[in-house]
Amino acid sequence: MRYAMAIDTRKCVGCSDCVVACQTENHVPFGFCRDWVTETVDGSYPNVELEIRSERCNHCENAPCVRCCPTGASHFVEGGIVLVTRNKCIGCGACIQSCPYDSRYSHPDGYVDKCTFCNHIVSKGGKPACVSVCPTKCMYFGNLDDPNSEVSNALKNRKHKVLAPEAGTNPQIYYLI
Amino acid sequence: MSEKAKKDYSKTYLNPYFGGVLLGIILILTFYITGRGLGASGAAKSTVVTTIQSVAPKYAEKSHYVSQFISDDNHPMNNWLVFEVIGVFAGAFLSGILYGRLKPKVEHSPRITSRKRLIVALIGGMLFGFGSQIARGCTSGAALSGMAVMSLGGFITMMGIFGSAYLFSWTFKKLWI
Amino acid sequence: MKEELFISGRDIPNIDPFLHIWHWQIPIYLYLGGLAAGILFFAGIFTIMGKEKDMKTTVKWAPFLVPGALIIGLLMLFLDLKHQLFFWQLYTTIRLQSPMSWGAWVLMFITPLSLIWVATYLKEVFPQWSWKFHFLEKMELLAVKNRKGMAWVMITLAVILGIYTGILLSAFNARPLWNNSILGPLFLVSGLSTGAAVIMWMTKSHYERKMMSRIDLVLIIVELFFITHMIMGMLAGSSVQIAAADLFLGGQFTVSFWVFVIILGLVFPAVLEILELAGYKIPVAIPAILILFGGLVFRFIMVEAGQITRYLY
Repeated sequence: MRYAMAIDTRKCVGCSDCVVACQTENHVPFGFCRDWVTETVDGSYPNVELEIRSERCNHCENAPCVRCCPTGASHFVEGGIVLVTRNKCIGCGACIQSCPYDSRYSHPDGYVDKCTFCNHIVSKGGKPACVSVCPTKCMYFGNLDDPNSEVSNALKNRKHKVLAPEAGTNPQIYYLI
Repeated sequence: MSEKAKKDYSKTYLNPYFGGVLLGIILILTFYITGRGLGASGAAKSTVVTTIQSVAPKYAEKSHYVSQFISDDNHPMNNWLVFEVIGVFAGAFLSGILYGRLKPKVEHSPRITSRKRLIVALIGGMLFGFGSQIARGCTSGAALSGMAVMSLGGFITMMGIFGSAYLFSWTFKKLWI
Repeated sequence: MKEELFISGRDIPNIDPFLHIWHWQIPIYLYLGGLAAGILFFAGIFTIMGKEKDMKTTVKWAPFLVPGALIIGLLMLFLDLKHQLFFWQLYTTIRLQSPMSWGAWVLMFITPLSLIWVATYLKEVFPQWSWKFHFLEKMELLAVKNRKGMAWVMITLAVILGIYTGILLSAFNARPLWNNSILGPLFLVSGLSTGAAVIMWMTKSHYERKMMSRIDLVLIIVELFFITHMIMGMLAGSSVQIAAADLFLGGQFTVSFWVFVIILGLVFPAVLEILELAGYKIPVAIPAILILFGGLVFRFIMVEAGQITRYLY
């Protein structure tokens, strides 16, 4: 069981519904966000390329945040999802320093927080809030080990990339380009 | 190994004319390398401005003079003169070591006490600090470097400094000889 | 043009626009850790070499500073935590892959060891000192008899502590400035150098001062080599590493790094030490203060600059 997400950058319009849905579903404090939308513009008219990506924690296979956590608060659960146990986290910030994607933040209550792939919904068979709410249906979530899942099909049929592969973390969010 | 030639160099001084020529060469090199001349009182001014800003920030903002040197972009101590003066201290220290002149002492005429010398030095320093800010420079900055670039202000400052020194030298003769 | 923006308006405190989650507490802790490691290393090694009589300050008096330094360092670490009530979770597990866990445990062992070491010399400072309880007297006798054994443990832990202050940073592969393996040895040598500077300053024995001053000179030269190696390594790395090196070669940290760390903190004290060895008289406070200052500024710069470097955006 290996959960992963595939996001179609050609269908994403940058509406940021995923950001708001996540903040609502997970009671993210005001001023913080667990996911965000990035726009990359390359070149000049008429040869301009635009890419819009919805980014979040990549739940990497070789997660440096899990490796660097001194208490084991950052850990893997079923499906490769990286979670933080709140009452084990001491707020040292080592995981924040070690994440190449800047996906973690220090919650005002003291512990470190980030995207959880909505584990509370997914473990019961649902989809993360951001995936459910996307109006262009450009986000696919599922089990990479299942060759018939949405994610596996998307990756089979389309060219895709990951962010900062040179960081060596083996991220599990694939951007369909 | 420790006590090499016990020769005492502490009364050996460089020929003043040769020293002047060396100083002139350094001045030319300074202009060539940094695009500006030497200086000294600017570093003292930066220190004063920084102190005022940390002790009484509101006054610093309101004061017409001090507020000129405060900006959000650059800390007042982050300027060329401050580092030049640090270099002057380091070089003077090194010279003191090499010539055995490193002794804490007050140089004064045998006819007055150390205390009187220090008080007079303080008064003289205050006058010079005041004057250097009116003239926007001291002997090295306004007079020396100013004259080197044929600045009228430089010549006038030089005449002011040396002229008033000659005028008052007879009055304060006893402090020195 | 090439532009990358957050169009959903992300502005998380301490993360945007540049990561700044570790503030002044961490550089002070790294500095005190390195300093303590240096002093304990020299105390241990001269005890093992049997030179306690010649190197009294190194072996007996300088270690008196260490428990205080370590406790202040731990306090800094505690202050930096954001979830302080749960700090004890650090000691419920050892995670060998997390340098932060190593550090927590090394400190857990080296602090009481340094206290014991200092305690065995308390009678020499306060001749009237007496442990109130009999079993403490017996423990002191036991410790005094086993000084050489303690010294071996102490130098091992001191080296681990010194290297750990660097490995802690180099384990974060998301920060290109830190993610090189020279940082561990560099911080160790810097810590040893600051320890030697303190001993050199404290001692009244001419022989001891000369010995530590020579050792410090060698350590400074090694440290300069390591810093050169680090910058050259970064310049020969990937584009994010070149950007990290550029922070020191024209970027915002150029002046403070080269003036305060390299020239005032390493080269000038080395020149003064060489002059001292050549026979000139130098007030020992000056090179000592410059080395201590340079070490502190180095850690402040490394912690702040490292958080600015990144892979993305």
